[in-house]
Amino acid sequence: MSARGRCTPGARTLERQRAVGGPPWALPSGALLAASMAQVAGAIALAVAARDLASGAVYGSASLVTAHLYGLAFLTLAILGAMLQLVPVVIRQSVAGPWPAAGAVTGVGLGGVLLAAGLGTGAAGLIAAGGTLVVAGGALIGAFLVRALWRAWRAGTLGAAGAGIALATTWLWVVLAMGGLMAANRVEPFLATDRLRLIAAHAAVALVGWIGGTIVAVALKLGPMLALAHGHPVAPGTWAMACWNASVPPLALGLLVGAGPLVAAGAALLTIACALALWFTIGVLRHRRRRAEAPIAHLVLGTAVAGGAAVAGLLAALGALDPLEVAVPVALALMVGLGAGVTSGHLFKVVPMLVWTGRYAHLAGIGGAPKLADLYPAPLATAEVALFTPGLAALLAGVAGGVGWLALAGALALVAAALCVVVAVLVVVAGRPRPAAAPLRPAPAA
Amino acid sequence: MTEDEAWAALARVVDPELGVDIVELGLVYGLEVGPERVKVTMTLTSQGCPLHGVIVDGVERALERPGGPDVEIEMVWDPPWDPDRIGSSGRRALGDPTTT
Repeated sequence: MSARGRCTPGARTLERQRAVGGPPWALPSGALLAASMAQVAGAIALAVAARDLASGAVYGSASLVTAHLYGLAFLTLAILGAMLQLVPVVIRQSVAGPWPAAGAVTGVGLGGVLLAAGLGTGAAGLIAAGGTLVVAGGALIGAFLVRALWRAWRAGTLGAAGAGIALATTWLWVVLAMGGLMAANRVEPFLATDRLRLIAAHAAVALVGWIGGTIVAVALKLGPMLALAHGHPVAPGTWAMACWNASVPPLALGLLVGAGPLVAAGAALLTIACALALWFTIGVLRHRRRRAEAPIAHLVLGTAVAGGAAVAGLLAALGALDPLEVAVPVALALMVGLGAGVTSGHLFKVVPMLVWTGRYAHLAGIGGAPKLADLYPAPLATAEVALFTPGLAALLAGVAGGVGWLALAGALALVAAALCVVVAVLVVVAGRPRPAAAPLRPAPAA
Repeated sequence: MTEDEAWAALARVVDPELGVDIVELGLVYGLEVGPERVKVTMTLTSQGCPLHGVIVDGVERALERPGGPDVEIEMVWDPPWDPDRIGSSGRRALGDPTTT
């Protein structure tokens, strides 16, 4: 396959016309900065909730605030912000114009914070306003993604990763629909279903379908690309994505209606998916031709933690463990261990790339630009992983074992890890690294 | 422009993500330098590289000269790029674990 184009000075080659980029770098960077701040808020809320969670009180206001700050204001906002930049690259189709995209991500981010605040304080107005913004923003960007994915399918550029993003987008819509119903039901009860079952099903679709599904789909493409891992085994990744998405309907439906065999089937599929994803990720690591960085470290950790959560869920569904004791550690493992960890690791990579492209791309080929590695905050990335890993372990052990102080210590370490991410993003966005060398020729107007 | 000058210019185009120039990375498959046209046949480390446009623009800028030959870039994916094409100094810079 080749693309040929004549490139006279000042003209665009055919190849460049075909290359599709995302919106201006400030939009996804701003979304990622806001998301990283929301992670700090979520981790603080988690620290407040940690002792309650360890004592088995799962439905407190701090727990609800934690779940929605992490799930919406951090993870969903970060995923959507990164998707604006990455999806055009993966499927070679543009997603949305800058203003509609900005409106949609602002709706999700702001709505997530308002919804969390409303759930924490019980203020119906905040719940209604936040829920409306989240559903509207999420549905809008979901529609943009569906349109782009449809075009990619028609153009033959969808690929396995694109298919995974399409499935994850479907789960996002299911999560938003369920969340909207639950928020309305909280203000004016009309659903006859048990509240805890509804929450469990909502969480399963959000954490496994939307967040986990996106992570697996994006990792299929970016993992080998960033690690320079050519020749790695591809099939385990594709099958991991298929099993991962296949696990969502039985899990959610089983949790909703209280059908143990369905939950067990879903948990078994998720266990297989995690094993395959781990096989794929280790294959990438083994075939990599450069230093391992924070994103791949978090991907390995997150996949392993998700696998442990899936096994615990399977054992609970089979009656070997108490489902009520297992539910919270499993949800935390998926939300924090997989979702927050992998997303944080990714921020260390994607934000420098966005900023470099926005500020220095016009210097490519003529010198004077810093290396992208000069923007990568390696010490902060190392510190983040060093704080996150034991923090997560302590949190999960404390909650699972009913040891409040251990859960609190773990959550505080996660606050520190989240602060590392915020500082790193700020350093990259606001920093001005010294150019690597003087320009060889005067730079043209950017 | 001589062929040596063209290669030297291409060696100033750095893959920003990897921090290694495209010649050292083995991304340049061919170079033809004539009075009217400079043609570069090249690839990228993977299709769908997020920095595709940046690198192509960089090659164009590196070879452009006022009143000089036109620059033609042919992007090919066959043969696919492989990390074994990276030179030894590039591998060391990347921290390639297979480098002893």
